[in-house]
This record gives sequence, structure tokens and C-alpha cells, in this order.
Amino acid sequence: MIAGLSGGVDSAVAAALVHRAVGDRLTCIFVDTGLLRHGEREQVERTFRRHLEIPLVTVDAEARFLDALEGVDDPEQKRRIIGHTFIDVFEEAAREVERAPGAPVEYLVQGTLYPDVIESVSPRGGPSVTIKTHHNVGGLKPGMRFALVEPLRELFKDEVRHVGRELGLPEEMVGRHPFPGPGLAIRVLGPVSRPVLQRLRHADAIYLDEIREAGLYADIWQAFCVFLPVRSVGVMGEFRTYDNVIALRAVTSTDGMTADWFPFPHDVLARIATRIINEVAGVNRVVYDVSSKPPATIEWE
Amino acid sequence: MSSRILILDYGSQWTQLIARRVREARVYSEIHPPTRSIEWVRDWQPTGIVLSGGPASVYGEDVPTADPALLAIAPVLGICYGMNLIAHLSGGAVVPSERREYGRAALQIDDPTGIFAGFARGERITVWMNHGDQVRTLPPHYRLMGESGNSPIAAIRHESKPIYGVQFHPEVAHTPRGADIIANFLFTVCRAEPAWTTGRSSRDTSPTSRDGSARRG
Repeated sequence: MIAGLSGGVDSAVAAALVHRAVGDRLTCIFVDTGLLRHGEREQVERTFRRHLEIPLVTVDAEARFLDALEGVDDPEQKRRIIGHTFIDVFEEAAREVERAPGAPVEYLVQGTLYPDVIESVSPRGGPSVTIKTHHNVGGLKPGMRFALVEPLRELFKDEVRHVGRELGLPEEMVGRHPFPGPGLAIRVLGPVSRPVLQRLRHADAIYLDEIREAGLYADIWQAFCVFLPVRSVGVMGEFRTYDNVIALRAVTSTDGMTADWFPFPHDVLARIATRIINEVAGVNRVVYDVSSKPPATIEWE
Repeated sequence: MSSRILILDYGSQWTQLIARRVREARVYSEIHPPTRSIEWVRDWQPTGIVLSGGPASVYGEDVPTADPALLAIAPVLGICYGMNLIAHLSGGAVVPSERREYGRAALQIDDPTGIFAGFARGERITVWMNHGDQVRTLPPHYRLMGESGNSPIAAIRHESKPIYGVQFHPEVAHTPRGADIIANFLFTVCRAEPAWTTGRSSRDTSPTSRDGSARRG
């Protein structure tokens, strides 16, 4: 069996749970898609190798993902491309795993949660409409070789966190804000490119840094930056600028099914905006998203 | 036989949250599609029936519906689309709202009985809305229980039968007193027994539950 890790709490808990059941027959695969946040890869490697002592293979697939996404701006197409590329990478990684003596790889463990399922398909055959195709549900390739193991499929995030704590996962992993499988690709509106990802990653690191500094990380369900393909005029120093906009999103929720925007103290917002505009080249404006779910969703794509 | 709640899924993204709230109140429930026959529902012997929300409009064509006889089998709570369906089947008028209502709204409780037992008359509570349709006129024999700024008819009940409808979503965490409203439906209206435990859930969950037979409550 192999387990795909995204860096988020769901896939980590699913992998730890299956590891408890099947032990060394499980190999965890972490794909560096090039769409990760700052420091994400290091944190996953630390948690799995050192803390949980579960074998971990890291696959460097940045070029493949970014090449496949080049010029694509439709959110649903982005999700499909990422889902398919994930499976290609897992299939190759599985062949590597099979070179070592042992049983063939037949199963892929995923941390699919109930909200992923309901935003993608109606799980009970009811008349729901698709809101988003989640890469680990509707975005999978037809005819892929693995059978799926999804032990968290009927749980909500807060229930998954309880399971994670029971399994002894470190708080820095269990308490993490949710991070979607398609990663930063769906936080760059419009086409994804390396320079844009770099700016978004930098802004996001500043944002989370200031939230932690203010002691607000645990009060917030999810906080992240969105890169908008919109340019506006600014004046920095004595020069006119015509640069991009970063949107800040922070919401409160208990299960991800409904959410409200987080009422930041104004001084914290001011500090975040000043730092992002000063430190991230190509950004001259920061806005704060004050929409609830519904009618908006938490992520922008 | 122990209490069991039948949840009919009209396609809401929050149907599973209804089941979750019912199981947190220690009552068993199952989610089924709205196409189950009236005989099937009778045989299932529900202690109460919840009609979920959904993306359709009750006045549209080829939309999921219910046999009006459903309302006589057991106490019924209709949520959003479910309330619109109760009103539609009972002779009320459901129309597109002039002002749609999504997210936070304030509900004023006019009738603190049944699902609103323990609330005060005139009390205003925060509720989460998500609808583009509304009940314009009450069906015959129905009474108004609550109103919000954009929904003059936001909660209804039958004058003598245990049939309730709410336009808002008591199952979501952003309706802070929603669990009380669901508990009122379960215990005050349906007289359900809070006897379900997760231990029973793990024993009774069958690995072949995809066909909707055995399911965690």
C-alpha cells in the first residue's frame, strides 16, 4: 500500500491510521508539487521520519506540475490536471516501491473527508450539484491502477483532529490549518507560474508569521493569501507603481461546512499589510476578504 | 424498538451535518434518497422524519418531491427546501425571493412551542440562511413561528399535527442554538429516546453500507 501525503492533517491522519493497521506494508509518498507553502516539505519530512517513524519517500515533481498547469486559468481544469498528475506520480512511485521485495502495490490511501465528498458528488445518490471537484475525489483518473482506501471518508475535520490526537500525532500537525490538495495553484487566480508562486509564498509566510506572533493562529480555522491577477496603481517612494493585489482570507469554522470571516484587530491587519507591501516585490495593495460561507466558499477557486 | 430518525436527502451540502447533530443527541438516524416509496418509509417505522435542504426549487420541473402522505407517518421537520416542500405540498405559495438571503440572519421567534420550546417569545437568535426561494403564503392550517428581515415566513408549524418547517439551517455550527432546535424536534416533538452510542455505531456499521442499509447514526 502507498499513502499520498499532501502536507495537511487529513492525509497525515489517514496514513498514521493505516500504518497502525498494516505496519511496514505501508509506504508514504510525499509529492513536492512546487505548489506548497513555505517550509511545508521540511515539516512533513520531520513529522513522519522523526516523530512517527513511518518510512517516507519524497518525490520532486515541481517541473511536471508547473509544466502541466502552464497557461491554464480555469479552476476546474486546474483541479483535474493536478489530480491526474498526482496519480501519474503515485504510479511511478509505486513502481519504485515494488522494486524492493514484497507484495505489489494495490492500494492508495487518501485523506478524503466528508466535506470533500459532498462538494464533489452526492454521496447518497441524492440530487446535489457539484460545487468543486476535489482532486482526491472527482479529479482522479479513470482507469488508474489503485483501489482507494479512504478511512476518513465519513468524518468531518474536527473529528479527524480527535483521531489524530488519539494516534499521537504532534500538535503542530494536528492543529494545522487545512491546506487543499491542489495547494497554491488554487490560490493564484488565473494562470500559475513560478514567479507568481514565489510572490504568493512569500506573502503567505509573512501573513502566517504575523498571525502566530499575535497569538491568533489557533483561533482561526484557516488563513491564507490569494494572488489576484489584477493590477492597480500605487505610489512607492516617489515612483508610480502598477502592481498586483494580494487578498487576505481568514475564517472561523468548526467543521468547514459554514464559515465566517475572522474579525482581526486593526493593528494586526495594518502590520500584515505593511509588511507584505514592503517586503514582497510586485505587490502594492492588500485587501481583506469579508465574505461568509455561504454564499462564498473558503477558498477562492 | 429504539428511536430512529429518517433523513431524506434533497441534495443539501449539509445533509450529513443533520445526521451528525442527531447522533450527537444520541439518537440513531439514516440518510436516504427522497425516492423511497411511501410503503418503504412506513415499513422503516421512523420516530421522526427530517427533510433536508437542496439546490432545486419546489416549483421547478423534474425536481425531487414527496408523497403528501409522508407528513402523516411520523413527526416531520423540513429544513430550507424541506420546509418549502411542506408548504408547496400543503397548498402554500413558494416563490423566488426578491432579496436572497445567504449567511448570517436574525430570526425573531414568534411562537416558542415545539421545536422552539424553551426560547422566549420575541427572542432574536442568530441563524444561518442559504436560500433563493421563500414561502410567500402559509398553507391552510399552518401557523407562523418565526420571521427574519428577508423572510417574513422563516419558521412554520401545522396548527395541530407535529409538522414543522424552518427556512434557516439549524444543523450548521454557525446557527449557535441550532442543536437546541434539533434536540427539541427529537425529544419534545418526536419523544425520541437518547439511547444511541458510538459503541453501538461501530458494532452496527456494516462494511456494505453503501446501499444505504446499515449506517452510523
